[in-house]
Amino acid sequence: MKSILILFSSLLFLTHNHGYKIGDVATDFSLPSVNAKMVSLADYDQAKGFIIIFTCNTCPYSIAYEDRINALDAQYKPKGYPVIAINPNDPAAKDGEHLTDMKQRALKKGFTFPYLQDKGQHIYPKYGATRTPQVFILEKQERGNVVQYIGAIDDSSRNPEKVSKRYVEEAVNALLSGQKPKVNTTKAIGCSIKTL
Amino acid sequence: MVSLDFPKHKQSRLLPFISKNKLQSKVVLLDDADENYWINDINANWSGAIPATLIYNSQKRDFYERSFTKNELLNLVESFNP
Repeated sequence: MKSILILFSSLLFLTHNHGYKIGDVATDFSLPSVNAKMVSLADYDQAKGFIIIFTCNTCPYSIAYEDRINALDAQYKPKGYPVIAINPNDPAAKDGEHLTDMKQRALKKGFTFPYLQDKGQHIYPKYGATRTPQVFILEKQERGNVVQYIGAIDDSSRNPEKVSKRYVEEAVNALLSGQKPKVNTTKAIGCSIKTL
Repeated sequence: MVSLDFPKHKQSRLLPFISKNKLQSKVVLLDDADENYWINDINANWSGAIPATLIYNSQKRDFYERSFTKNELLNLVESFNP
């Protein structure tokens, strides 16, 4: 009998897990950033929420979004939704993902947001991140930082000129006006998170 | 083999990768933008992370969101053959 094998690939790897669903309270963390500080969500007492983005140095999909992530931070930090970027990759499993590499990348691209290393890789499995880039929008409520959106930044990773649906912007705009995001879960191609 | 590389990297990265690794199978470059639409059509459990593998025949269809060693992949394909 003939079997057909189809591989969807770029040049990269992966793991699988569960994680948060919409409405769950997301864990805080204390992770090292490229500017040598430790960063926690609790540091942001004025924030209304957070745009958490799991991203990395080497994935072409992450690189393609760097300018758009800076733009999101510029647009939403003043409104109370700062971007916090977390690199979930184990630097021992992938070249170019050490904190020193992250510092260089942040400097080169002029990141305006904290770029943190998921040191020990304890945080991304709790969130249920599977790929880079992947966004979790959290809304600060009395019970904690509640997950309100999980997914892609927009609908055209590989060509920023063809974007027609700006998922993260629409979700944060909804939250800022006291609504729930109309689209709260999306999928996109991304690079698997690298582990040993 | 379905490449999800960037169309702008076809000459500089994809074609050299195919030559270097002497890929024999047909390679298609999937550059449809609306990933949120077609990822679910391929498999509802696929988060979108790559690499991912779909193996099927007339009786069986399995999807794997993970990487494999060559032997793991060979054994898996073998398990589809009666």
